[in-house]
Amino acid sequence: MKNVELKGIITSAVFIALLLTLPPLLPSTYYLDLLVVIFIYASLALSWDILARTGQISFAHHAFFGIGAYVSVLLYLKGFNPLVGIAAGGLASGIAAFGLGLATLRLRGMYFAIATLAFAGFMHISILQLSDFTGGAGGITLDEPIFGGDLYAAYLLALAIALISISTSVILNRSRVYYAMKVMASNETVAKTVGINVTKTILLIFTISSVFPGLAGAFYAHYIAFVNPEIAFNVGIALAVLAMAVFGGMGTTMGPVLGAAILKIVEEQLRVTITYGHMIIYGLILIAVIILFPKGLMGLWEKLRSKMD
Amino acid sequence: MDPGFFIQILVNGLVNSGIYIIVSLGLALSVGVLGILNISHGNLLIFTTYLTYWFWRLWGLDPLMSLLITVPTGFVLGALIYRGVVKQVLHAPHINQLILTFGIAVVLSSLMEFFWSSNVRFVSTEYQAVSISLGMAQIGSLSVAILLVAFTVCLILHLFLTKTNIGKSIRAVSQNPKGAALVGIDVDRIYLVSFGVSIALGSFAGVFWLLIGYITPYVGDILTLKAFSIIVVAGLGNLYGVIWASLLLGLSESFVKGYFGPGWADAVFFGIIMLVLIYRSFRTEGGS
Repeated sequence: MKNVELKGIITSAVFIALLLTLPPLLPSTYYLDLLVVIFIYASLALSWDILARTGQISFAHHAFFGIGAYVSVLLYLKGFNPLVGIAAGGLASGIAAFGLGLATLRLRGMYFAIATLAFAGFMHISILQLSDFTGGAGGITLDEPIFGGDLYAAYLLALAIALISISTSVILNRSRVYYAMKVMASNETVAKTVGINVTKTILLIFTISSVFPGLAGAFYAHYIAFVNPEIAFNVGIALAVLAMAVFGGMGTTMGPVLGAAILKIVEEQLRVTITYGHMIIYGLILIAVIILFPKGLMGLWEKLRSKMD
Repeated sequence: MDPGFFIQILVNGLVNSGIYIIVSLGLALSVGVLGILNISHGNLLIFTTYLTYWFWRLWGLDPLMSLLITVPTGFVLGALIYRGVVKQVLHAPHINQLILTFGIAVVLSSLMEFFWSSNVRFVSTEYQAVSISLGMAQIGSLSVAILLVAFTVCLILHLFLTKTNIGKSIRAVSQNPKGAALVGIDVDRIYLVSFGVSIALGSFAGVFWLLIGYITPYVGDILTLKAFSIIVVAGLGNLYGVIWASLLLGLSESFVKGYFGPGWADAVFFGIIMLVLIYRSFRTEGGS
């Protein structure tokens, strides 16, 4: 067991060192930008998956992304440092999730999913309508991107956000809460019988997991130096995040990260070749994965490995 | 307050409710019988509505006449989707079922974008402009027709579910699939028929939606969300509750639109859905 852990730590250290030295070697900033976007989506997909481990599925990921984006931008306009804004964005998202979680404490499955969808829709319209405050449909343009447009610094920050999400996922999957989540997801009555406080656990996980989309949204708004409701509350985000986690393998840390990397690269390629309807790839992947290999890439990998042994 | 304006808003609300009733009855049927929330409901019905648009555009076929084609197409499409994919996840966890129908919704929206672009599409016929004067307000003949049609659809569905053998089997399966199978009902066939009828009802409503407004590849998502709100307010799978829930949501939407502007009208749906869910979550133990 100790050996496996050591191996894991060394592999991750090497991988992080590689990512840190990679940027100057890239042929153009296009790839640097692609990596930043992949980090953001890896963080989003992981945080969605962390909640899904409790058996609850959220369609409000784009809402937390949007809350983070708007909070940080509005604070920036008030004169705060972008980094403070990004932290506040994550915090605001977590608080919003805590509130929503309290209100929908006893909802499960479809009901919870619908409630999150309605919450996202309500947030979107509110931001659109409160135009004196939020700039309405036109959005808000910032005077400069984060770190004055220094791409490498932005890259490091995105990497940091992704690493925080990954560490949270790893820690959760090794803690006692992991077993509680597993039992809850498969049978709530059993979970209650063995003394797990189901509503408290869901509330805790929902709050923690919603901080990351807030951070990601806040970072992204500063990264492109612009925010509007179309970008911040884009349902496409919720869709992509779901597809990434499912494709990579739900319930694992590697799965959603891998899913984010692969699908984002595929999407970039498709966007160039098919202008209309390239989102179809996400839909087809969702259908194919659920029917053919519901455990995603990680499930396939496990199967392959057990066959080799 | 101008009474003419008030009546106009009232009628608009009733007409929208009429369409919502038919769309939501379809969704309620598939949720009630299969126990699967079909997130692609709205996308499927808009997909067949594009056929109506095409027939009208290419061959000048009257949208109402095209019902004869699109409603059966809706049934077949629903049956195919059930056979092809939905059937595979009948016993899978809820989360997988939701993700699957979400995937279908995305594929359909993308296909519609690809075939018909994201432009607004509408039809124009002579009878769309015909209206009846009621003294203070003008009421479109189409509005009257939609109200009558919605009423008739409810009646026919009620008779179908209570008087015919297949309707009775559908109710039996929705109450207890195992029990139904024990007394010799072919559950798989009932699932197929229910899913088909669900989409056929949607396709029926779609044509009227096109006649009083327009379609884009994204209207389906909005309709799904509205139908969700309605069946949540009605109680999932409760077909009779759908009628008053549609009226409640359709009328409040219309009044908010009339008196507070169109921007907030959509928020009404989300607001009501949240309130009802929150109320439910505190009223009952376990949430459902």
